[in-house]
Amino acid sequence: MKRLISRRDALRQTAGGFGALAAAYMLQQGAFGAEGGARTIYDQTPKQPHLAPKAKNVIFIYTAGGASTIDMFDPKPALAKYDGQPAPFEIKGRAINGSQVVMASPWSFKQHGQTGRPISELMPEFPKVVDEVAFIRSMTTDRIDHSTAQFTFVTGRGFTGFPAIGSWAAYGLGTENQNLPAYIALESGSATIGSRAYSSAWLPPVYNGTLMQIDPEAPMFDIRRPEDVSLDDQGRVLDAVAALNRAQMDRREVNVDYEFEARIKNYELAARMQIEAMKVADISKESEATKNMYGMDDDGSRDFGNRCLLARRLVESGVRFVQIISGGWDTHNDIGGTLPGLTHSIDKPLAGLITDLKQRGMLDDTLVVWSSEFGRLPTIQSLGNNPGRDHNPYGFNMWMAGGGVKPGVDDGMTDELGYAALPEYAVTHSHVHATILHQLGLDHKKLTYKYEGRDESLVGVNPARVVTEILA
Amino acid sequence: MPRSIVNQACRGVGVRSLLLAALISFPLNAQFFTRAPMWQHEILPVLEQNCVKCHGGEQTMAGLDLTKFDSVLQGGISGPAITPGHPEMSLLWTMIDSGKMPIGKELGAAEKQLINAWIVNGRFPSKEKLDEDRASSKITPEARAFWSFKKPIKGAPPEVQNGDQVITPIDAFVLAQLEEKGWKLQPEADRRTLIRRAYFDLIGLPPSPEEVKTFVNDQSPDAYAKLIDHLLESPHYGERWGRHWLDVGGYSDSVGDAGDAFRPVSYKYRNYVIEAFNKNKPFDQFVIEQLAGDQLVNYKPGTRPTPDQMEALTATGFTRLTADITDNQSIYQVDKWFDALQKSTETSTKAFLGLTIGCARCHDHKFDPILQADYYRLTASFHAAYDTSNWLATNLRNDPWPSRYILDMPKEESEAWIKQTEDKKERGVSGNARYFARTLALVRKQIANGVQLGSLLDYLGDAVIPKDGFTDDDLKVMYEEGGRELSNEQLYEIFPQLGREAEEIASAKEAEIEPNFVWALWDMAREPAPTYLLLRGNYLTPGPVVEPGVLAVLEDPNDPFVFPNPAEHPEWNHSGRRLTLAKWLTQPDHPLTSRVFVNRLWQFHFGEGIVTSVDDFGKMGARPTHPELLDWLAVDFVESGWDIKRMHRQIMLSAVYRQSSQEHPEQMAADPSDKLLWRKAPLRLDAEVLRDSMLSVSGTLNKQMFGEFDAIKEAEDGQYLPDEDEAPRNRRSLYLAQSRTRPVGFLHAFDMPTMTQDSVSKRFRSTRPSQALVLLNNPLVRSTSKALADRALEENRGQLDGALERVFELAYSRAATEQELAAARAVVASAEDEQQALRLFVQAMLGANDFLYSY
Repeated sequence: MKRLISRRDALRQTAGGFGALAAAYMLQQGAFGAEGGARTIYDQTPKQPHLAPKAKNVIFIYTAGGASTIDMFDPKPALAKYDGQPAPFEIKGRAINGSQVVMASPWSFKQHGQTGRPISELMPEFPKVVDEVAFIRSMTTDRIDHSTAQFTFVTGRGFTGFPAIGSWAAYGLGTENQNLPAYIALESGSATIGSRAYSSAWLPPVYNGTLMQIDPEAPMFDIRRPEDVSLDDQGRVLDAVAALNRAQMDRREVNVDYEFEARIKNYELAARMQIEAMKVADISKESEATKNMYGMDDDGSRDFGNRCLLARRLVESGVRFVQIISGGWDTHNDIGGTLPGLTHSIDKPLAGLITDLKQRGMLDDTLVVWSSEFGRLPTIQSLGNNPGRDHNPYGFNMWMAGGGVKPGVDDGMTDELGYAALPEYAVTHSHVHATILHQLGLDHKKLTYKYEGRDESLVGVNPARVVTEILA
Repeated sequence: MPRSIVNQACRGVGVRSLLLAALISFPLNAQFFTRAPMWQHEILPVLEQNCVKCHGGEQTMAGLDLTKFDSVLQGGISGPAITPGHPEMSLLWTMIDSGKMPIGKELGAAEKQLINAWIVNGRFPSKEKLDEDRASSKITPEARAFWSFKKPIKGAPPEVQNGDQVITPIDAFVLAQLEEKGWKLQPEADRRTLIRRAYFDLIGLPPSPEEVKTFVNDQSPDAYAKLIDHLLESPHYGERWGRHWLDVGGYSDSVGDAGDAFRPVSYKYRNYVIEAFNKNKPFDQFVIEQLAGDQLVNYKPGTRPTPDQMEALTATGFTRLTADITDNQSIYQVDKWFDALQKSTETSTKAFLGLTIGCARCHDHKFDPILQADYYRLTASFHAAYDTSNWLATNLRNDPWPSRYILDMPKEESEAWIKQTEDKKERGVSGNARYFARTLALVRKQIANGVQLGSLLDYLGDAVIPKDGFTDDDLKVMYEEGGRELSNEQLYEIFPQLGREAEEIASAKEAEIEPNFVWALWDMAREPAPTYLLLRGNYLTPGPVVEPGVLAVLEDPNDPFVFPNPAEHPEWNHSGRRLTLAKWLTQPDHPLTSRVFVNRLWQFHFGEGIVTSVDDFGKMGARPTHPELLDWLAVDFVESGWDIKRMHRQIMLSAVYRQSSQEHPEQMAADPSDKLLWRKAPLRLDAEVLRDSMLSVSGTLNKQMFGEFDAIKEAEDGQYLPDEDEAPRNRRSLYLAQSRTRPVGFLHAFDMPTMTQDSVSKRFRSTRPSQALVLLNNPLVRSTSKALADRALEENRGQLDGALERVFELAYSRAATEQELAAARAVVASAEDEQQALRLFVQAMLGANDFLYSY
């Protein structure tokens, strides 16, 4: 790899005559119109935020499928009271094997931490960090099926075709490290909407979420030098590309053409990214204690834990927005059999992530967000031996920690069954989006992009406000 | 057929009122519904199931028709059926409440509550008329005078100083503006550049060295014109320009639902588009077929299409390109039905009118004179087919029949197929087959891993296939056999039940009839259900009924455009709405249709349109850089009979198009994005052109056209690649499976759209390190480099110099310069052997700017 670094210097000299434009990731769009012939350049160099930011980075943890927060974070004693009885008011499910019969949480809760907030026995490690988090206990969303609700939660609109929140953050702020993408997605299982959970849609593709794998040899597509290509041979290709591009510029007597220049720099950046992405994915230098802290000593939590650890390393390396997706939370049947495995897979990693960030002094400017597209109903779906719970978009929990969030706060509540958010407290996905942007120093009304004649934004025309109740 | 719809109030408003109701009282009563139940989705289904046998449809006893909102309000011979706000004064309620109606049965409590709540809280607007909308202050004379809403006029080309540069009228328009700056056109590009440009533009492939030689040596004055004609006749022209149009329509081979299933037959529409371009189908005809082919040929739903109906029916695939997730969950779908209907309308409006109307879904357009009523008037044309009160499933996976497909089979066969799917549904055979395969795989894997009996059962869960479940003996054997790999045959031996099941499934499968589908759109009824204006865009709050119509601003206020009444056309098998809309769009003097399309052609040739916002010809869109030129082209296009190939010729024969792409310091500084067209700006090749060109120069391109999509597969690192194990291989990229969530890595890196949004009329041309990584490490680049180098060496009997010359001819259409040869020698000097050196150097050539751009 050494050779690539020295080559980088050589390339830099080659390209040195073309001005100081840092053309790493870029897209030039001839945006002429009213303004004249100027070009707009979209890149990921750091941008000035609108406000003083509270957080520099975001780790957005998305448990796709609908986590049953009433069984994890938000116990409802009334569930026990009505257990096996009809609910005291009508519960709207989707009518697929639905019922009006209330099901108590099969798990017990205990109060934890200074704040004394109850956490389910499903999450034995999470109590260690519970005092760091702020719960929003009155989440609502406006779609009831996975695809539409996931689009809503990640892109602000309940259908396909809008940019994910990470793309907006990358567009608004760029990122510190030009050798890695500004927006990286990590999948431990996937969302129902697949790669659309981190798509830039019509925002310039430089802001698309880049899928990263935990394999340090091949963390990104086409980043690994093929086994049958020697380092020297790859160097020869790079040398020859540089020489051919040089020859072309000479032949055309090009003095100023940002696009050609950018393309030359692109190889340089690719070489650097090759090194940096592999370096960041290589966790072999992390201590065993650290890996264990993330649950990597356990088969059930290793996969998600590794991604949490990687998220910390990415943030450390100056990546603006990291999204971790955990799949499979759709517990329609046999919630008693399936939920424990799911919660186990994230419990220790989540506690480890927050602890680790805190120990390293990173929690103050890293906003950690945890949510699902919706919660689950207090009633039984699939009456019988293996009951589960159906989708509940009316009321559920999510939490945030770090990045200017007030530790230990609870905002809002649902009714006694955990069915619907009390209207006066209701928080929507758009409120959450506005809040995340706000912590990054972005005003959700000002962060716009012209698309199809409209100044589009993450929240669009949805009512949105910053949830100041959970902010320090 | 009436269709019962189970509705849930899941919207925010509904939730709050539900909750309030819950706090106030229990058990359920009418107050529970503080929101208004919806006529179309809650009330109508109840009436259809219980009342319309006598009151509506075939007979209207007592003069009462309960199938339509208006006629319910109107009532029958006993007077109005309802008095808004007062159930006790509403005949509909008193008859039901007293048990007098329906005769012979009684409505359930929930249904009664619904009707009661509807009368108490329902929205009964007076029917607002089109005229009132027209009077809206938005549609002012000034609004009508906006440039793109006025008819284009073909003006005389301006006088210019540099008359010697003018070849076609296009040149005069462009030169006139350049001369204002004291500039003129660049000289014509050299022949090698011209032929590459023309090849990339028209067929998306580079010329062969022989073709280059012929063109360069052709001394005839019309050599270039002949070249253009030759390319326009190439079958690959349709592949290149068909792909452009597929971008505009938003073509994808996947549905866009949960799991993003592949669409089995959408490829037929893709092939239709390719053929339409190759046949030079007049654009007006192209528009009409795609929007209303079914109505054009008066297709009768439920019948097998005749051969001469097939093309027009296939064309309507255009209206079905949107991500349609209505088959996603079988119960809660209403919001998605509206999404599909509305998205389809929006994409069509964007594609043909160049206007984005999405905002008007919820409110009058903020900037453009587009009313919310306009939006719903437009959707009304599609509503007859995308009928939200009589929805057809769109995917065969969950709800096989009836479905939004036409069966193209003899009657007996299609009937047998329908019976087969119904039987299957009943017996669950198709589900069984799927589970069976899954179970088998799981059992084998788990046994091989020595998994404990108990957890194995947990793992299998519902997937356990044998109809009566595994017996205790089975389980015992399974446990004992744990730890060793078992073949299917061995498994069958242990579990005879599994074996029998396998046999049954196999033989059932063999006897199955393979359906032949047409992916098309057709009207559900001649007189469709009413289309409501949806207040705030929310289907839960329907407003007044709207009639089908067009944008008010484009109508003559004194002579509004009226849609025909199907009642006056008894021969129609359809509502006639989409056909009317399409004919309105293709009137010769329509201000937008021709402008919008020639602007698209211009954009695909030059990289930017004359109006750069190709889908937004409204107020917030860009103004044309050359307005008189755009109008001249638009009128010329219509005058020629909407002749697309002729328009290519017009553009490509111009001096403007033939200019050199040479950078020029002064112009570059003053107009870097080439707004004034002082040069032909170099364009990075589109993703597909780049891949196809690599295959082509390496001699590995398979030019077989049409057919179904080619398979892709997921590589170890999660990247999608063309599936090399499945024939046909190495065909042009537009034949590769186009998925919204599984884009082929190479193509995605170079900005091929994934159609997460519904159409991409203008692709990005980004520069990203992921592209450099692809050019360094992607298997396609490496294999084509190798093939090209080896091919050149072989053709030159291993002589490196000759081979080098050949690769330059093949990849760059020219000889190498001294500087380039030096670069090649540097690789040869250090690499292991000449063959390896050439492979590496060729890879560099394919990754260098000379190859990546069209100049």
